[in-house]
Amino acid sequence: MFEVVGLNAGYEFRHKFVHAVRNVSFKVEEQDFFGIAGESGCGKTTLMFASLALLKKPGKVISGRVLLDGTDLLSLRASELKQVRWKKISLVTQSSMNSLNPVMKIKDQMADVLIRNHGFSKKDAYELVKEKLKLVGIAPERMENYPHQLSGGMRQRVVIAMALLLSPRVVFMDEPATALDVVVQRSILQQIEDLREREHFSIVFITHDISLLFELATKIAIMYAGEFVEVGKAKTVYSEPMHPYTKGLIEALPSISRDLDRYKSIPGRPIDLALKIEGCPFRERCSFAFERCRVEKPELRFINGRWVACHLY
Amino acid sequence: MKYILNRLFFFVITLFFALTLNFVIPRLMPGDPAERLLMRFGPNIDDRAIEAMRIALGLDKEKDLFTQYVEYLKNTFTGNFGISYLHYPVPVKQVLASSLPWTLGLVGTSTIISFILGTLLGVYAGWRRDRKIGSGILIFSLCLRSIAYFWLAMLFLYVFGYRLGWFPLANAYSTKENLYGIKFVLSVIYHAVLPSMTLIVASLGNWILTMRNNMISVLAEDYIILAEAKGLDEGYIMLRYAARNAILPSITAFGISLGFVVSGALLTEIVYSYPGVGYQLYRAVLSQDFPLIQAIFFFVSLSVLLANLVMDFLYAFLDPRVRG
Repeated sequence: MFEVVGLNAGYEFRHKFVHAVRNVSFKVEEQDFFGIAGESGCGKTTLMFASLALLKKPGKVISGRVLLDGTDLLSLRASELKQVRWKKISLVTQSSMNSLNPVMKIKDQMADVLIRNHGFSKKDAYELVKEKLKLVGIAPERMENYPHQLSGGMRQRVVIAMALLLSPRVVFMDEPATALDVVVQRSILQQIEDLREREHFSIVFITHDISLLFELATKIAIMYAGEFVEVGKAKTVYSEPMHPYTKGLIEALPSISRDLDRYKSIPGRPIDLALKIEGCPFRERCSFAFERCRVEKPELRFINGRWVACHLY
Repeated sequence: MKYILNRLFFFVITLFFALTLNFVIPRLMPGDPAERLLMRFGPNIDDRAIEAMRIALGLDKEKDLFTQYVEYLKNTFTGNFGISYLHYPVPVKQVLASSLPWTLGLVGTSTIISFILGTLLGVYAGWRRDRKIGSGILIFSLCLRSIAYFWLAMLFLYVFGYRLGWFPLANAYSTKENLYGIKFVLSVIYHAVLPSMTLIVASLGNWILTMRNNMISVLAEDYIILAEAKGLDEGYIMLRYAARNAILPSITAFGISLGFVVSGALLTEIVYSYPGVGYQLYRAVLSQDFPLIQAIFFFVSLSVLLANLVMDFLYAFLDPRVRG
């Protein structure tokens, strides 16, 4: 349904190229909840922008395809892309504070895409806005408000309602609850999950909060230095992590039942994506590294029902 | 409504303070205006003449400071600003009436044109910041900002006025013949071209840079990314989402500039011998013409406060967050 094939993207400057997304491929099935986790600077946001055909200068897609129902978004003309956007693929952005235009009423910034791009009359557009607001549990009268009159949680719900306006096939979510406090976060995520089941759309969920994904996602991809190092079912990745990076991340997760002194962090820092990486990008931080990791780059291979890029297997 | 009342209240309070300062400051200065005025007629002045002059100027010592203050307030509001020393015995009111309209017309129009033009260019430069056109506008505005504008005024006057003879060298309208109606208006516009060009060029760079910077910071906001992900047209995103938010800080700066229109554009008025307030104020300061200085200061503070008041209201209209 939605598929990214061999995507390479990054940022081009005069003398160097920051290769932020390295040969990434993944497939999202109908009504999938696909989670992508990685630390800051691992390329996950670049991957999202490239997948949405939104990467702008100095960002650049070098190679790869983004297939939505068989059409490559990256090769569409602007006018064709305009028809696909929001109708088939939409987005929920990170911060609930800045996701809404402060000088437009909720109804107007929700309805503009309907009226301008998808041939809705003003009346029909506002009807749909009301309906979608109800869907996320916001009173329809609120559509007359300006964003600053809503709480952070309500704003994020509005952004979710906006993303669902045209019942898209895929919704990208970039840390949709990070800016909110944990209680509101919880209820928003629960709501997203309920909506996905009811409205039948797929989610590509991007976050640095891996514990969230283990709870919510059906499939999970662990991203390190621009590449996927492990992709598999969320439950099995959590119970039996294979890649040393995934293991490290899971060991670093706080848990109510574990003693505080048993948390482990991963030593070192992520590699500079502007450099040419030889061997395994994780080898310098990896306690299992051996000679082969230095000379040969591990490819993503299908082992025991999941994809993993490590010479240990 | 509460917001409007609040703003009006602050307007009245600040105006009152400005008026009081305007009353106090000249009285703190050393010297006797009556003596100074009569000095111009020679070294031997009769004491009675000085006394008479003091009464004429409203400075007789019989009155205590408070009475003077009350009279000053009354006079200010009835438009009685006294008699100019410099243009003695012409009343200040008349001096201002002959210079204020010229300044308002010239500097006001130039400020508005410059703001609109600069803001539009700034919006485009910000929107296209990574293209050649964007950098082009940026370099252009930096160059404009680096030009000393009195030098530009002289250059324009020399090239277009003197050398090429396309535009007049001085005055606000033709003094060679008596013109009426539309011909007079055309003559005024014709005389205003060079000075207003100078003023526009002098401030255009700033408007462009301010707006460009505002645009760039707004363009990094998530709602711009969402608007793009929605597939909305570029022009619509640029104006409705980006510029609409980016213009808010510029509006404040515009309000302040509009307020200072009344104080004139001193150097431009001098170079083009334009009969505006700036030139008048300059001469008034040189000849210690306190009533005239006081009246000009009054109008400057009044207009700055009025412009701010208007901008506050406009702001409430433009930014729903201010309405509360």
